[in-house]
Amino acid sequence: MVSSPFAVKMENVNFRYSSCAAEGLRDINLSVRHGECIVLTGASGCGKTSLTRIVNGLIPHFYEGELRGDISIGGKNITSWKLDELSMKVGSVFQNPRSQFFNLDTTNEIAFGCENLGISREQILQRINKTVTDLHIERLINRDVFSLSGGEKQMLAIASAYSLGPDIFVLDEPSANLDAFATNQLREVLEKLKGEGKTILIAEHRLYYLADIADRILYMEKGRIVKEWSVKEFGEVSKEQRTELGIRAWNLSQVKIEHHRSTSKEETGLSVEHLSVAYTPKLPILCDISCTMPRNKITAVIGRNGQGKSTFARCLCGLTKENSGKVSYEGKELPYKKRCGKNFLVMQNPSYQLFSDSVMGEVELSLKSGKKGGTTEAWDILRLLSLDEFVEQHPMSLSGGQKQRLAIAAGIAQNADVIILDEPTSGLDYTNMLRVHTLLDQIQARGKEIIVITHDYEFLVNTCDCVIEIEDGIITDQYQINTENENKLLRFFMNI
Amino acid sequence: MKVDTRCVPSVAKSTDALLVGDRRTLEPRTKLLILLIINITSFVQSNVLCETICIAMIIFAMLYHRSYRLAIKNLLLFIAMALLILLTLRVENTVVGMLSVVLIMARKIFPTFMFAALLMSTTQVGEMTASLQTMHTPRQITIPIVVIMRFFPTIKEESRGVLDAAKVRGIRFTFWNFLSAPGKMMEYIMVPLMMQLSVVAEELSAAAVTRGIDSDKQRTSLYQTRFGIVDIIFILLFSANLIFAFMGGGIW
Repeated sequence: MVSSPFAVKMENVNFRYSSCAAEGLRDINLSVRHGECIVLTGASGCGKTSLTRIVNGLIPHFYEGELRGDISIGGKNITSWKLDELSMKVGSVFQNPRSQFFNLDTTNEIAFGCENLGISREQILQRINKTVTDLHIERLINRDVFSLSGGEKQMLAIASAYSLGPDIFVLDEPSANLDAFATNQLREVLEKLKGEGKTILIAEHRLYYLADIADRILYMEKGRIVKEWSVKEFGEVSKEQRTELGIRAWNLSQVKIEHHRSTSKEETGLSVEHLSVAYTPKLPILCDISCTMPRNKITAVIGRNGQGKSTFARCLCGLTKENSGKVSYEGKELPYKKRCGKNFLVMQNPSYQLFSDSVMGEVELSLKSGKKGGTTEAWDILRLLSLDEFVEQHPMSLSGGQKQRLAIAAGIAQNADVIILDEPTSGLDYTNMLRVHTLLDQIQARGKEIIVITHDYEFLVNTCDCVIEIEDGIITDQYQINTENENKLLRFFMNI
Repeated sequence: MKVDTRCVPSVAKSTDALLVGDRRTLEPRTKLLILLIINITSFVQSNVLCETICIAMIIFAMLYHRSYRLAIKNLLLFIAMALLILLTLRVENTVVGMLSVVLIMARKIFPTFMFAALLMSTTQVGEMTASLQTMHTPRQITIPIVVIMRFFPTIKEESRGVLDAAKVRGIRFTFWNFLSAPGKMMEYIMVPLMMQLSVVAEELSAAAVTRGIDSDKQRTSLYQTRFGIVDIIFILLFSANLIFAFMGGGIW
């Protein structure tokens, strides 16, 4: 049946989006053999997502533009593929787990594609059973999709694609919203797909989990493929070269703790005593937590999703009320009602937090609520966060990183003492990760305490000073980030 | 690859349970038809008895679906509303009079809302499409229904995000703020909410395309739905009440 030795073949492919300014593709020549796993990497906006869209047919059918060159998928020219038939050949998984399912129950979600393509009910049942047993996802069946964790949702997305029986899988930053544990689960499923001889194309920033799966790594820049390595070669790429290209680590155990922060004495900052939170009496989320977070250190809160980490942050920020216990800043108690605004949360998706119609307006809105006026102050803050050239722009027209900075600017303008960041580096390449690192150093220098919730090992090791591990609603460990604790931390992330 | 045979029966069993259903529910088309009947009844009837029968039957339908909490909540809400109307009618004051008009309007559409809530909470998206497809409904109708039912929980989730974000930014959605700056407050909720929803919508449609949503083949269904005797009983009951409403509900 297989006529061509290549699952995907592109010759001199060029593409330009007709509607948006996003970078297209230039002179792409790529041949992917059957059963091969290709990793596409490069800075945000380098064209790796566009490349995946060509393979699954979203370009040019969904994202319109000017496409030139020869493309064949499964030995058949792209122009002779009908889009619905292509979906049985190429399975797609996207970045955002919350926006790729259609049904509210998981079983029907796996069946959804089959239903659309008019496959008979008996066959659909068989396919569901095959998908569930092949991918070992028995625990996902018959559940409410909204009750699934992010990792489980991504697993469901893979299962839904799998049930259509494709032999090529295209994944666009599938781990961007996942914690370390879910990323490991993702790796296991990808290993299974590879073991079955599926061809896999994956666009990613986070690379370490692909070390045992990938065959080739392609580096893209401004719409072109500029570098290519085999797995073996890629393992030998030096740290300097990686940093220069902005590529994430391939092997986490090679990421060394480098920064040497002054070992100055810890100053009292935020602390909690006997804090308990429960949404229902029988189901406590946090049980009797006590800890201190020094004012002059960057504290990282780590732990599996759904184990109390985000509830902890929400409680610190005054979004969720505690059932008992207290939160204090510099030894003075901060009651629930006063916490909001004093402890400022920068959300994982900062676009939620921007309400004004210009960058300047955004800062002024916060200055007002912080009961301080004056545009000199606003300019000062915007300069600190290098947003001063965008004062007139609409917040929604900013890039992801700029939105994040603007949210932080709002926090500073609101005169917050503590800035809490939820996953500030999810989906960022190495260069942008370092940028967040520098930024946090700067705002800390202004006397703000910083707490980050993170799953990003490289960022953690680069930027943070101490770690609080939360599991099952209690603090399981709390330690400094130094060479002695390196193994402990690494074990936590590699889930050994 | 080795297949773990132990889990095959368990999966088969669980899918069977889902499809045959130990859930007690009316056929989705029955629910849609009853919703329509209730809608007409509400606007035709001009009589307390007819209205009471309608509410009672909806409560009965809720109990049949084992939606006990929904039944109690709605019953209490309706009683509260009825009492409030009685109370406002006794006070002679223009403002109170206006309030009572609003309440009477609300009471008119209340049965429809009650049944719609039942329909939403007891119907799987897949059941609905399966049911419509047995009548060869084109996918131009079934797909939008999937999307609408999928979008309600999303709107809820996204609004929660927006409200939290506003709180962090020191924007309070208090009653006083709504009175003094209603435009600003609406803007603070609607603009970010619409932005987020449009992002979700775009990503969702891209994902849909890769799952064969615009295929021109006849759509099939995992679920199977069938009319039963209970469906007929419920339809007859609600139709009888509709006739009663048309007759002016005039027993006395």
